[in-house]
Amino acid sequence: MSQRQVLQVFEQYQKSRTQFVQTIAELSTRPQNIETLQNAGVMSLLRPLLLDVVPTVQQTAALALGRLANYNDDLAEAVVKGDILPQLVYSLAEQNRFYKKAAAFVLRAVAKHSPQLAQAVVDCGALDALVICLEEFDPGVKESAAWALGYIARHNAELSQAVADAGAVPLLVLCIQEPELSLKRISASALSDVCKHSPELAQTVVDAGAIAHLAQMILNPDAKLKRQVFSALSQISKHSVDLSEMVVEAEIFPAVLTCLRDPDEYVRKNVATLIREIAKHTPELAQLIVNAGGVAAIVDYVGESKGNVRLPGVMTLGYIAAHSDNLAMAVIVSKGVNQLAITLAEETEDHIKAAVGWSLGQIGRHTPEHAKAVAVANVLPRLLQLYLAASSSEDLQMKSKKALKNILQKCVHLPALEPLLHDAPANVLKHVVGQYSKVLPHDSKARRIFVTSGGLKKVQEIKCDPGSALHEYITSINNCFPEEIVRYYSPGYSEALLERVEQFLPTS
Amino acid sequence: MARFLSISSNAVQGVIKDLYSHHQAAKTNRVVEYNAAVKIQSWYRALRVRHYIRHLNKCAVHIQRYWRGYMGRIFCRIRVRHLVMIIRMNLYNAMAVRIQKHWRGFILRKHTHNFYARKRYLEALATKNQIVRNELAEHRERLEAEQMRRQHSALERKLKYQARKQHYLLSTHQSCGIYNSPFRSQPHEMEYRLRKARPLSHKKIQSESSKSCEPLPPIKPKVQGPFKSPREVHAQRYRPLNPSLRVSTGYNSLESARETLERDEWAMQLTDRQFVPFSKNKVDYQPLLHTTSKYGHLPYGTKY
Repeated sequence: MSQRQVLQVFEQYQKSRTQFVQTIAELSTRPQNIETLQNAGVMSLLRPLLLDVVPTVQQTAALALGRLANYNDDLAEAVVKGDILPQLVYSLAEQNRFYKKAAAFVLRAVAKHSPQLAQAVVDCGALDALVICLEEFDPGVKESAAWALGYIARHNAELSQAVADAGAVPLLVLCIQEPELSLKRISASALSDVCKHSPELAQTVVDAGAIAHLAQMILNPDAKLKRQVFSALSQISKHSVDLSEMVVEAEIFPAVLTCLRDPDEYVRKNVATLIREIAKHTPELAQLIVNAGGVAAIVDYVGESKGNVRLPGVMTLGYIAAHSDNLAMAVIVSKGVNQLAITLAEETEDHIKAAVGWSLGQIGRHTPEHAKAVAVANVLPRLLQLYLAASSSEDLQMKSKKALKNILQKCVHLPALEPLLHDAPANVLKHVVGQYSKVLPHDSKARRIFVTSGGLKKVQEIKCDPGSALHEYITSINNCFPEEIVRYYSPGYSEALLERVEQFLPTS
Repeated sequence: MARFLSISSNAVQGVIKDLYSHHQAAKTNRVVEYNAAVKIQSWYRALRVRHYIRHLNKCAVHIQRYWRGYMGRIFCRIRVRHLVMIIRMNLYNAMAVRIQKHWRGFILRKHTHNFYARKRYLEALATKNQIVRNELAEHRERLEAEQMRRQHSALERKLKYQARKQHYLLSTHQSCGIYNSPFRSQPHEMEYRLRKARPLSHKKIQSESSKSCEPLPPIKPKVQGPFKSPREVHAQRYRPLNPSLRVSTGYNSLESARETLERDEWAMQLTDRQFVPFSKNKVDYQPLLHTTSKYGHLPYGTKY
């Protein structure tokens, strides 16, 4: 046997290994093959190949593993149980950039499924290795490391605290400043995942100077980057007044509003979420948004979008109006109420309707002027209908009842109250009649209309226990009218008249 | 004496008897009398003492009456003063409340709940909202236009490429292409594109023989330095001459410039000889008579 023949054996072995790994990697892209591969024991075969002498085989094996782990959590667990992670983490520090990318991909695929799996990734010391990868020169490696860190931090506060403790935040902030768009996108998303859990983590991100860089990218033409940037900003500002003030101080304000008309709907949704998170904290911040013309933009946004996307806009209007009567008036002046009424009529999902009802209640609860503006938009019957409908969820019923109560307690606009008098249940009727009892003693024209429109008759028909609040209101309404009118309209008056006819003895 | 004696004996007997009875009576009545005397004395003394005490009481009451009257008047005066003060304080408080009420109402209406300011603010807000809405609409339009333009250019590029690729479908003088149907009044748009387009160049098909044989390895790896780009080299080679000012000026430029100047002057002037004034009438200065004398200057017309 010559030397050549001996070497040929090795060559053949190497070739077939490469082919095997490549085929596996290709097969694992299709979901229908995964089960077969799993049953054939692909894990145990791939594991030794991670330690192969040939780098190509190693990389491709890692890639195949990542694709398998990406598919479902059983396979991810199998990767954890097969003790593959320590190998990966070890080689993450040593190997070339292609291998690093593939290894980070495996870590990301494992960590994405559940907090336990992510914890397993953290336990085998992946964080430090990933953080070192963030310092790599190659943007692809950075990207996959940032991606893996983001997936780990996504699950809960402890994991994201661990990511922050590993010193990833300043490096992620550096990554945002890189020229590559995909790297920017992914590191913004990772930052958003890190700071969404607690104020302390958000403060860490802010201390690393993320806000200024994020704020610069608001006007970037790339829609996917904008999505992540706005998501990160809203996650930062949702925690506390200080943080949202810092976000506002980055002078995002007029610029953000233009993004409410972005063609991409997720950008719009994230911007609206950001505005909501800022507006909900204090009246001053809400005032700032109002003065920048934000309410008009939000109202337009609510009008343009559909379904779940308009939800943050609706809630923003509610939060702004909840702070003070002036802000609520600003919402009314910006035609917010009409838009909300349209939304209430259009939307089919319960949670959005509940949010609209809540916002309307917040707008209408301040003064009679506000309540009138809400009542004129003809939302009260609709709210009542939602409250009474058996198909609405419990939350929707409760929210619409509360909104009705809030508005009715301030409403003195009688034409809007009148339809409620006829079909409201007792607990809503109480407020309606209460408002009538406050207005009628002082307004003669209203008394006349009340009688001619049949309101008085309706009031006489209400049955209530003496001593209840409703009874008191009815009494005070009756006191505004002459006694015979009240008697004329009370039920059973015609029988009483007929009885008198029967008992009457003609004198002739 | 006897008489005396008889008398005395009788008398003595009687006297003794009397005396005895007196004594007896005195003895028996003594306690009663004594008691009576004590009673009388005690009554009298008590009477006196009571009288005295009554007198003392009267005095005390008198004093007390005056004292209490005096003190009562003092207290009453204090009380009245106090009451008056309370009444006044109530009045003052009521007045103060009235003033504060009006002042607070005024201040509140002027600053916090100023109706006109609120109205103005809401109007300004409506204007601002309109501005923002317009701006956003413009922004949206711009974005849409941009997107449209991008789509359009992509389509254009694609059509252009297609035209280059299908350039063979161009109609010739003899036969019409598929885009130039004789049954239509006008050729298809693609026809015009085809006319304008330049056909794609054919790729050189490598022969099998050249593919199979590998190029020979270089004889010796020769280090060849970092080259400049050909354009740069070309630019360097055919760079136009750009002499400095000193090089580009002649050595006799000063003389030639003077010559030119003189020539120009000579060409511009009308006569060769300059004109002079007609005559020279130079008269000596003659001082005035009254300002000069041999005795010196006369201060006439300049002083006093």
